[in-house]
Amino acid sequence: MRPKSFEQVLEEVKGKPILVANRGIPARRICRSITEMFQATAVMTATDVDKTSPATTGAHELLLLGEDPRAYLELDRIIKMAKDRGIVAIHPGWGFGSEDDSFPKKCEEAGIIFIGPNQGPMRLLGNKVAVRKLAEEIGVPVVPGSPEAVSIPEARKIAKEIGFPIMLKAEGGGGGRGIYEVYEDSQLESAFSKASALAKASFGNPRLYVEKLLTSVRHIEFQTVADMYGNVFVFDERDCTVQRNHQKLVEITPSPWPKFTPELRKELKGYAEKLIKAVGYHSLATVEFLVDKDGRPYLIEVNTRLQVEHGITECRYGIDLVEEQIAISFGAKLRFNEQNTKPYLHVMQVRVNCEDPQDNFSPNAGLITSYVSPGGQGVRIDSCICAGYRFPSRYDSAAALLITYGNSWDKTVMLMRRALREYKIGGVKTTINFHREVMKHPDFVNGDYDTNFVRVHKDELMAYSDKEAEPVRLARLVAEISARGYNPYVSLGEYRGRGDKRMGRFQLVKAPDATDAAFEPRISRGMKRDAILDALREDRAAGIIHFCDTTTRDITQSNSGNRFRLAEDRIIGPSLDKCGFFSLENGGGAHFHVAMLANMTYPFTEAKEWNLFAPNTLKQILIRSTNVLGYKPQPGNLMRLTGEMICEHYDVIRCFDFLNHVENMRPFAEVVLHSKKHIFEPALSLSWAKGFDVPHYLEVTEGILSMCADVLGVSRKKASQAIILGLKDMAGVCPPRFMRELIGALTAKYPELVIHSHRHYTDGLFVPTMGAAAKAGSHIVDVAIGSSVRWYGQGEVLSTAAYIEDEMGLKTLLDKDMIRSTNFTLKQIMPYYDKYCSPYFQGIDHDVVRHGMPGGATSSSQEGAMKQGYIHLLPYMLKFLAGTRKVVRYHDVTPGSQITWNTAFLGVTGAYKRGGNIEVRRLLNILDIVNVVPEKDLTALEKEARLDLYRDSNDAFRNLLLGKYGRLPLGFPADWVYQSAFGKDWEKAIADRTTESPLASLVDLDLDAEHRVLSQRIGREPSAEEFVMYLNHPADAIKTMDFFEKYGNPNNLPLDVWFEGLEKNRPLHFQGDCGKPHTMRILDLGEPDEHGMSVVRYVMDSEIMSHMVKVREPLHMDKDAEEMADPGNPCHVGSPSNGDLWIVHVRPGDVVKKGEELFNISIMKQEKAVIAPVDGVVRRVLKAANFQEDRKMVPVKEGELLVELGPSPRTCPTCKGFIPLEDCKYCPKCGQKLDALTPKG
Amino acid sequence: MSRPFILLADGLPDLAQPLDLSALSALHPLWAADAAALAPFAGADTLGQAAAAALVVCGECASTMDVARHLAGQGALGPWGSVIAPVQNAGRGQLRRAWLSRPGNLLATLACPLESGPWNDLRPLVLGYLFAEALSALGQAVQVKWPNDILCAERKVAGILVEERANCVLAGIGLNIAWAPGEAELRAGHTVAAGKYHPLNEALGPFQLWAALVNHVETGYRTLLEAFSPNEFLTIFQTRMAWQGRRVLVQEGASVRYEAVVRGISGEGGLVLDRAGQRVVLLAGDVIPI
Repeated sequence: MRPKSFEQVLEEVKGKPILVANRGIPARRICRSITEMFQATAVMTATDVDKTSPATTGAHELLLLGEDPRAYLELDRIIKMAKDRGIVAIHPGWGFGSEDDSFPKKCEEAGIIFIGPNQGPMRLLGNKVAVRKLAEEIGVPVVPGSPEAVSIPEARKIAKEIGFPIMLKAEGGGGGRGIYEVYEDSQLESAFSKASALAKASFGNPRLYVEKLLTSVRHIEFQTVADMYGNVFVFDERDCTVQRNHQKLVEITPSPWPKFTPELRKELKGYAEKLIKAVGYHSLATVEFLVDKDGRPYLIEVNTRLQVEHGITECRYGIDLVEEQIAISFGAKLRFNEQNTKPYLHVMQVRVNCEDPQDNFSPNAGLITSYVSPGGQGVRIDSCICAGYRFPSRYDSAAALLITYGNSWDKTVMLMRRALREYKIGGVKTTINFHREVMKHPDFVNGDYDTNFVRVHKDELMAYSDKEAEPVRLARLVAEISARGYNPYVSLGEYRGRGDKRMGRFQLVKAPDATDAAFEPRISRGMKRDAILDALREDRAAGIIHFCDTTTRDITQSNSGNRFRLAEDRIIGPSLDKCGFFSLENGGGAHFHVAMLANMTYPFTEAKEWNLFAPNTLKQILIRSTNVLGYKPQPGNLMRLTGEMICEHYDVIRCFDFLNHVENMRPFAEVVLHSKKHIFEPALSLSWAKGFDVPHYLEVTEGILSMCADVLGVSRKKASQAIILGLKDMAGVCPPRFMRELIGALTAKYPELVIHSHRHYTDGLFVPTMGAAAKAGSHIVDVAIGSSVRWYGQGEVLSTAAYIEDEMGLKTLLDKDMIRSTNFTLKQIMPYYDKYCSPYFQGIDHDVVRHGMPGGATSSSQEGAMKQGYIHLLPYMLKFLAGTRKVVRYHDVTPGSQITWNTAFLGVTGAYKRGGNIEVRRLLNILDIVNVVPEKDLTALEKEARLDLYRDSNDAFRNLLLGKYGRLPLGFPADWVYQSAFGKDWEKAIADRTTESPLASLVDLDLDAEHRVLSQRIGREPSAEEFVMYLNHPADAIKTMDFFEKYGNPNNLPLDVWFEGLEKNRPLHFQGDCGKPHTMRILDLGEPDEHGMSVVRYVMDSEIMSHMVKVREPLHMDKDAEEMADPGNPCHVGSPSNGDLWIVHVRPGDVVKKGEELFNISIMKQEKAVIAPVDGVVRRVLKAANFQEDRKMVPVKEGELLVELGPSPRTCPTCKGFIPLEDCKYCPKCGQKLDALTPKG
Repeated sequence: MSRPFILLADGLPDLAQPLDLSALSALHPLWAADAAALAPFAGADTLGQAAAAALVVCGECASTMDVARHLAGQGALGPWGSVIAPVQNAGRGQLRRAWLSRPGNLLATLACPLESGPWNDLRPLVLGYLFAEALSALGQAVQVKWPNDILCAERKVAGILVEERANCVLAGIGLNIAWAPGEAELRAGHTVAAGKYHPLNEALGPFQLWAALVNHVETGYRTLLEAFSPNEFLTIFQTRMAWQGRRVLVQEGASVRYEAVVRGISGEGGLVLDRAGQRVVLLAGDVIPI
């Protein structure tokens, strides 16, 4: 045949159909060449899964292969179809039929040109043993080893010659499959049989050969192209050293390895050319070498097809290999020679696969939800995916080949980094993140690595987070809230439905600027403790009263369940900062917990941000003495750890103990008092009840000052100058006259002690009481901004100030216009909280002076009673509370108030269960009696009756009586209380009582162990804050960490969206944490399908996305889900595995003996008989089957309860028959008289 | 003949009839060949003396499964021990279906070693594969129809039933070498036609064939469990598996029937089917080619 020119081939091929017998990336790639210069008709094979894939867009026509996904391997069928279609040539691509040497032959027989080599040379070069032999003959170095497949003794002999380690390679293997590494003689035997059997199973050929295992090598290969006339051109090397299990991940040309010299390149190119010429090969081929660290090359194999990494050679030379390959197959003369084909660029390719590198590169298929491909200068991409494409699971995981090219290695690396940054594939995990890490690795950049690179640097390369960008994740949260209509994270149940009326859009109108440039705050952050306290004393002497604002903590804790978010803090914080408050209480109490439980916010991050947007005013926190920020006493080391973190973000630390057990505050005093900046504010828990009088509180104050003096190492007088004394009337019960008296006595005794009054509004007397407190000598009083004032929190700032100024004749330093301005802003926020977070029962409750339920608990406890169906008992519970407060006396503050409430609830409901309303009234009657009648006047009957009062109390109450929370402020209650609560163990309980601080007996936490548990749970090192969050509230801390991982920072979403989601078509503008603005608009909120899933389609910035949200339980769900057998109960007989129940031999009432077959399960034709584990009577048969009769099998799950047995029945002493019923007096079978049943112990 | 064998000449009360070699010879020419081979060794061992891995030959019985279960309960039969009988009067297949047979066919029960974990769950497949390998080595190449029917040229030549009960696992096997039921004798709804298996050495009787099969299976079993992971086994299993890529009618229980394409084996050994594009894993049930 005479050589044709390229132009002649163009002429010949134009308009003719050429088939690509492949799919995905190679098919698309080859179709491109077919249609470019040749202007031929590109035909592509496609199975049903593939016929609409993005790769098919490049083809003019498809050759449909039907539903079998493996049809690409059916060469005969494909050739027949091709012939019918009039195909002139077939390109096999890579993979599938491309290495089958019968393909060229079959094509030839069908009269179709095969775009590739002829069968003979293909078979020779494709056979590793043959090629090795050939190489040895013509002087190409090969890896030492056996020339052909060997037996074990031969293998051992060769191993001895070449030395371990060796590799056993399957003759029929390839692509990294079928290779076993053997490191020592002793492993050889078992490795050989294993490898051989597996080779047979996998490749149909058990034969193995032996090769030396080279431990540190680079993979260097050479692209060759040859025509039918003996012209061969060898291109520069491709360095494919970055591999995983022999699968190439990154390919580079030229090699960046400093040791790869031009001499070595020349030598290897020579070998490649020799091999190709030796077999008279035409078309493309790749000659692959391993090069050890000393630059010694070893030929490993020759690939007789187009390869995945061909693109980098094309870019280095500016050529089209596929075009050349096609032309050569049609008889064209090779166009490349050393003069016209010169390398000039550095090129790299990474394989973007749908695999999860962090899960051992496991493939993952699924819907590509978004796709943004990189572009620009120096980038080439060959992909087979697009947004909306469902990536199939049946084929290989290659999604794209990303190439970058530049005029230096460094430029190419930087380009690749940039391209990988731009590349976004959503919905499936890909290798993009992994490649980003590779591109950053210094060894990679320096070209200093071998084929073990990925394995050796696994930890570094896998240390990336596969998170999507925060706005994408937040948009998904918005979709979820919108589909449900409520936000489950708010933890208030299904508080609204999707179709419910909305509060409407939260569109903040800014308040008129009220900033007074001349306003100078009297007290600000940055001042030292002593300066602040001196200023307060000085001001009080001048009749000036200061205010602490609780808007963002205590008042919204009491009235809005603490759901007030950081997002809204950010809005009003800056103006609160300018109102002239002494301090802003913005943390502590339940707020710390609810931040994680419902607001999905890191509490200390919140505090830190506060100090940025409200930098001037002091920040105040509330601490529950031993419990700190939790609900139970904390070990010392945890207290200190939390305390240190608190001091980082807060200036005033108010600390109370519900028993006024001063020692419980000591650890915190130690943390705070040693700082010159922080102010310690120990607080008296106040009750208004018998025994809690002024002398009592003076005594407690004395104790506080002594403790502080002790910690500071100063006198009590000095101590009184160094702290603020808090007065904490949490229930809101102390009337003006009592406060006047108490504060009067305190200031008389400790004239330099700064006093800070705190109370709640519950009794309705907030303003006059605070007025009285101020007048009597308080330096600071707690208030809140008007639009947040309800019933259970603090009172309003301007009215309180007005009362103090106008009625009491004192002064304030507030910037009232700024307060008005703040109020205007807050006014727009509060309605959302009122609607979704308000307490159920609302309004002033002056009865609080009797029952003493504090703050928000007033409503929540009563709501609890109602929800449990006891609303009719509520008046009695409140009476019980009032009475019990006189029996066991402590303060109406958390957690004491909760204990009293539970005791009342349990006492009253217990009585109701025993004897209805009559019993309840009897119980309250006796409570009245014990509270009014002196002990000596009680009758024996009354003394007996009072023991019913606390018989239903819980452990918390009993622990309180034992002194486990601390010393009771007025001593232990009377002994009969112990008799009632502890029953017959009451004397022991009395003996076990303690007055020691619980701190004394608490063992330190093993912080290292806790740290390990947390790290393991979240899969990374926790931050210091996360660790403290976890130690205080483990479950909710993890919930918040998981939330951040899944969605990001919820405080970037507006208030209405947080509660109600987004309605269709309304644009949402929000900013991510990095401040970039984003827009989201919901296009469609689908109705839930039968699985309860609703599809939300939305536009995020300019991308259309969709998200499935489970909004309700599936319709066809088995309502009575399977009951599971209790593994610890021998009478529960469950299914041993998943399978089909086909026969049950027993019926309820049957008596079975141990070992008797009960039923039989069939699984993969193995029939498992399940036998009775004990003697007994069949109580229940949960599923029955009798296949032989009705041809029905019943599917069962592993562990599912199938038969329940009862205890073995009595037997008749005479006939040994079973007695079926317990009350039989005579044996029903033989008539024998039976003994009465012995009573059960 | 290295494996000890025992002739239960006196039979077992209620389980197996007495057996003598001359009567055996009269049953079928194949048994005559066996009887001749056995004669020199008759009475060599008796129950209890021989190893538990012995090969027990008994007379006509209801089912070799029952005889083996009895012997195992007595401690006289352990792993790789087996029972073979010339005639079963109540041979059973899966779900108490009848197993039809005539003298000359191989009817035996093999006691299997206990395993835990995946190997326990995969036992039906392992036995199917190993018997198929053994049969292919001794004669015509056969394939396994999931989970363990043995097919030769698209006809069922053997069935295996595994019964697990209280620490004793028995595999019953019926192999048609002398006779196969015709179309009319098979139960309605049977999945595949019956056929006969031809060993290379056509003169081998059921007993000698069985002894060779047990040896093959035991050796194969030891190698398999030692050298391969359960996952690797599943790959290997598929090399012997029939009907891959074939469109079949799937029957689950009595009522559920649908068409699907056989795709392979799942990680737990179930049959992977493609039901209208959906991947279905069948753990129990039957498939019938369309």
